[in-house]
Amino acid sequence: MTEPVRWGLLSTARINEAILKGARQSERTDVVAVASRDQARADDYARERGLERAYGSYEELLADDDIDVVYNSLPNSLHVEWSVRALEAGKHVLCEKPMDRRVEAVERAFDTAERTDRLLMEAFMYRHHPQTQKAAELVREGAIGELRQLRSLFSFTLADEADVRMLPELDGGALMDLGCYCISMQRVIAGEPQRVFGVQRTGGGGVDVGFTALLEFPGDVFGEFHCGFDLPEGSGLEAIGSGGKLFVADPVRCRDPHVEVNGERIDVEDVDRYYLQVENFSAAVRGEAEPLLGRDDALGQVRVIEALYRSAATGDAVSL
Amino acid sequence: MTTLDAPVKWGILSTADINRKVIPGMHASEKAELIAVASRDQKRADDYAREWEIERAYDSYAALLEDADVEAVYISLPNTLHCEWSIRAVEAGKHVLCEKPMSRYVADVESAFDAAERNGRILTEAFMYRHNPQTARLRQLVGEGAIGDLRIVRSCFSYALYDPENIRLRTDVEGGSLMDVGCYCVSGSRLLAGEPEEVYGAQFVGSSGTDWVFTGTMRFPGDVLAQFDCGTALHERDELEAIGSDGSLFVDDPWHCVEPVIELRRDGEVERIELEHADSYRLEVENLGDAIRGAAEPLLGREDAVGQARAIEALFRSAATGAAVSPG
Repeated sequence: MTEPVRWGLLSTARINEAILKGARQSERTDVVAVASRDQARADDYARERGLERAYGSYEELLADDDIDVVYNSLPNSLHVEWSVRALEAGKHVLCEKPMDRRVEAVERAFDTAERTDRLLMEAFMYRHHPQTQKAAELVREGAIGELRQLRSLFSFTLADEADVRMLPELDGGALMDLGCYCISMQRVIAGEPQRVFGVQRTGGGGVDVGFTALLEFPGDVFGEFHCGFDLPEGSGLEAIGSGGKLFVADPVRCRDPHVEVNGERIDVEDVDRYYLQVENFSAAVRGEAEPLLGRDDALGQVRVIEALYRSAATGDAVSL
Repeated sequence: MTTLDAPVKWGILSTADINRKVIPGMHASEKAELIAVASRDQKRADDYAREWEIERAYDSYAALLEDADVEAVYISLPNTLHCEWSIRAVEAGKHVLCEKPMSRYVADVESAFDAAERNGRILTEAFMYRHNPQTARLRQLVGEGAIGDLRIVRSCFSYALYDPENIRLRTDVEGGSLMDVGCYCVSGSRLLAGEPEEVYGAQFVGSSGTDWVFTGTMRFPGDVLAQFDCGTALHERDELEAIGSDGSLFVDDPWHCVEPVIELRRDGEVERIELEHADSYRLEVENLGDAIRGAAEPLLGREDAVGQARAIEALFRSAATGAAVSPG
């Protein structure tokens, strides 16, 4: 039997817990190391979570030859830099979303992956959940007639102004943290937008604490979304067609997974999306599966994000 | 001689479908007496008058306006004729309840109100939902801070209609989804957030040449952001949601107000605020009647109608040019 793929965690971010839980369910996966900028912190983290090795710098983890995959959960502004360094050190990389806000940076990361013949995937865990696939499939099969309109909402209240998501120097902001999901799910259903318009509310340390956007897809399909840190918790995706409406109540977290079509509830298997993501990536590393998300998807994402920020800055629509 | 508590004598210009909603409101009200109807065709007017128990039937709109007994007219003509006949009616000394949307052109709405003011008559745009207690309660809740600071308004109004002969799908009478139903979303967003500073519109123009789907994004003072979509080629929907810093208000039936209820969602709880059913059409007729008798202010006047037209004109311009537009 093939050995499990050995993973190392770059950072001690909170999101790691979900990845660790998913990895524990994956026979293909073994998380063996963690790195922090602080050795004591890395040691504590490794001990508490039963990880073999702890490194006091990201470089040291990348130099560990017994690591196949790096999970990059650093702040947004460090995603591409450390993904590139990890790829060049011969690691496959699962990089947290959003990979970056600049098209050029994402292209550079994938260029590096191709040159080093390593896998690079953006960690949109909800994409691995059957609820997402079911919703896209229903629209494709014509459950709502001809697709015409999309609406999404993703919000929660983030009061801590020192949070990394509130800091412009770390590429924080609601569009980066929350809106990227709205963009991603609308792209899954409607393809690549041709023109976008964005408006933002600025707050925190100078980031967009709220972002509202319109995405214009081929065939005059329009996607509306709102996201924000200055709103109560909210979520939802609606796809409206000529003959019906599809609704996903919890498209990102996928709790109580189901899709509603014209009020009729279609239940979906309740599975851990982080597990599915880890499993997909480990299988891909072993050559047993294709990575679900690759260069095309990541570039599609960042093109929209970059264009939306430009639109919000200039006050005008931006063509892609 | 008209006494202060006498019912206002009404005439109706056109035999449009919407009359079916308004006439029962007039019949039910002690403040209104529907005495005349006009059509371009005498027989049609006669038949209509008989069917709806209306005393007088005229074969032209001009003839009805000459009836000195008629104090107020309800104009349910096609959109393109709203302002023209509103002006002719106020010049004939009538007060006017004009169907929404009054016009897609700010200049036309301004002209209509100029004429009303010159002639000392009342002109009001027939947004019946504004007269429903559900709407007043919604506005009050937002104003009282029930959801904290208002940040987002989401709304929709759509149905699916594929008959190209239908007036709503005809370009020659300025049909289309923004004019027919999107105007409610514009009105509802403005009611809660004020006048938009910037709008962006996008449309799907169907084979009839009208906008079969229209979606608008509007930025209001204080960075309140609103989005809506409307359609004549979409699954039937009507909703309004106001989201604030501390909670949200959801209205399942914001425009027809058939079963008025507002959901206040806050701190993980949902409070259902149920309101008594009320006939919005009757209320709008009674409001104008009271205003004519000096017993009330008209709920909707020049400012609101001009604000509507500014937003609609800007949205159409934005959709046509692909650029964001500042209304005004």
